[in-house]
Amino acid sequence: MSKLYIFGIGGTGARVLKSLTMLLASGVKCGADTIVPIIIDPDSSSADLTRTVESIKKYNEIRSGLEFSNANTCNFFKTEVQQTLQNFILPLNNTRDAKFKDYMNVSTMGSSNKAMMNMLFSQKNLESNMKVGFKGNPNVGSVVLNQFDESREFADFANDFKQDDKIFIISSIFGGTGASGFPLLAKTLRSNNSIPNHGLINNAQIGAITVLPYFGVKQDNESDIDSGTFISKTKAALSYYLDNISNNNTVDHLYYIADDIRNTYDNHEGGAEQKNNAHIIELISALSIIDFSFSDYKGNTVHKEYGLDSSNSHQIIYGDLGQETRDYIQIPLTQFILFCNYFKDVSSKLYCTQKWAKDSKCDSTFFNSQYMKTLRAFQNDFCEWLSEMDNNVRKLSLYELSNTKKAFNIIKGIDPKSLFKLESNYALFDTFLNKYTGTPTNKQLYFVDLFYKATKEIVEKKFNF
Amino acid sequence: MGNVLGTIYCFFNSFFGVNLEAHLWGFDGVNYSNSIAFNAIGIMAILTSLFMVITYYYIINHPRFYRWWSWLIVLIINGTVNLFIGYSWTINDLNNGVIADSLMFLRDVNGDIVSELIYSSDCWGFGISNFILATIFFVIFSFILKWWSSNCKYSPF
Repeated sequence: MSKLYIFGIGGTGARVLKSLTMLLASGVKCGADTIVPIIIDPDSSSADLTRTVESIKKYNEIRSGLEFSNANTCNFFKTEVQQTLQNFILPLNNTRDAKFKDYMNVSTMGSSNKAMMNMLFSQKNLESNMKVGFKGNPNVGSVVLNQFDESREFADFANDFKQDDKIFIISSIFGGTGASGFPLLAKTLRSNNSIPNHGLINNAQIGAITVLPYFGVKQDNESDIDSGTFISKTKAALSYYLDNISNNNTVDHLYYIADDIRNTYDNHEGGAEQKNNAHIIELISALSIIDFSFSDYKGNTVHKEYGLDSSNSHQIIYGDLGQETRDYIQIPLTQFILFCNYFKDVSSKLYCTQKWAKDSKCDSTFFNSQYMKTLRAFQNDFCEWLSEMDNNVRKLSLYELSNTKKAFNIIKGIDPKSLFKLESNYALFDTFLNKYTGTPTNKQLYFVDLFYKATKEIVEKKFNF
Repeated sequence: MGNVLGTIYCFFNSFFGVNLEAHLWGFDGVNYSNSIAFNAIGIMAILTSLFMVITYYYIINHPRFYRWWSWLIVLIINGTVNLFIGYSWTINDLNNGVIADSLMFLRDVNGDIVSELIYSSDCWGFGISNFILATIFFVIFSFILKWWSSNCKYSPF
């Protein structure tokens, strides 16, 4: 029962974790039995963070009703996502509603120390309120985040760490929190010998992804965030990482990802307004975690990058992705979107009377239960996630997401095969569902497993996957 | 099969009368020496009903054609087919003079026809009897065979 501890630092960390949650829900196979998300972000009110936390909570609520055993073939929600922290967030001390100068106790410093502070930090830095993070200032973040190992929650993580467990760190390089948090965390994990289980943690297999600029923000003189500085910050951080991460082999795998086609978001420093649409970069970053989970390499840092088969396309369909990526995601995501679409397009009056529902006594009480409401809410999140990627730049346009009510004409660039059958569309879907009916001991597991089996056969027969 | 089917048909002989019944039992005017038409028509009703049930539950077997009224449509089609089988069988005998004269007409001592004893309405009556019987067969076969249908197990309920 190996665990993969995933530290998601900053807004990008949270968004990548959301993509990972969606991949795991759809049944993308993970090399670890359990993943343990740990989010490090002082901006606890960020919409990106709260959306991720909500999605993971729904995932766990759904999974807790499934009681997986070895006999189950179902891969939907198969990987356990363990919650060890409240809202998955590693608390940071003294950052709530505090100005950086107060955190540093500048007012109590002597004149020489104050002068040093003024040399290292601008007045804007010192006056900066850390409620919404470090606003793209890694120099501030590197000071405030240098406290990972002091919290009880971090000690709990260290105590829980076992032989063969792995660690992965997600961060962006062009902001404040991620850029500063990653090297500090990596250093703590690799060399701090005052934390519990330090022998195991210091020698654990560690992977990391560093997300290079993939979006910009609109120019706003009132905002501390200026995307014009993203590239220069990235260069500076890359140079630092070369010396302090790569050359001393702090991590075993270091994934880099970037894109030169970028969207420009509204300029929000943080908080509930920081709600960036999901992006293909985050999905691919989540795939780096999957890739890492299967690796048993440990040694000199291996650097990995990602490439598309057709790099000039502003709209990515499956044909533009490499074969390995398709192998990872094509079947699971298609199965899960089929699962989601069924309940969007077929009326409850119709599906409640199908053989698969009647055999298992899945009646309107079951379909209106809290469990099913949570599942439907998660499915909505999943569709919204795909839709956001479809509306971003660059567009990841894998599926036909408009409400066509066509069960199988859903994959862009791939036409479904015709089958020699009387049934078509959702009637054919029901025929596949009706093949796998039975009398369940656990209705929720039966229900999710039924859709897993039926959609698996559908993707094999209709799409030749 | 013997006389079983004929006996069942005779439950409905008020629809088609005793003379047509006698003809269908094989009465040739003297003896019951002709073949019993009830058996042939009954077997056709059984086979037609079986065919329709198999078609509904295993060939059409459609997840959108599984309601009670879907089943009722097939039941009515089956009954109607058998209604026309029963009607056409007997009306042919009636029109072709196959039915024994003593069953067809009431004659006076001079041999003149006093009245007809079998009318085309009796043929329709037999058709209706066949409709009812075929419907019974359809219901029986449905409840025997529906359990293994992958889409219509709960049809009609």
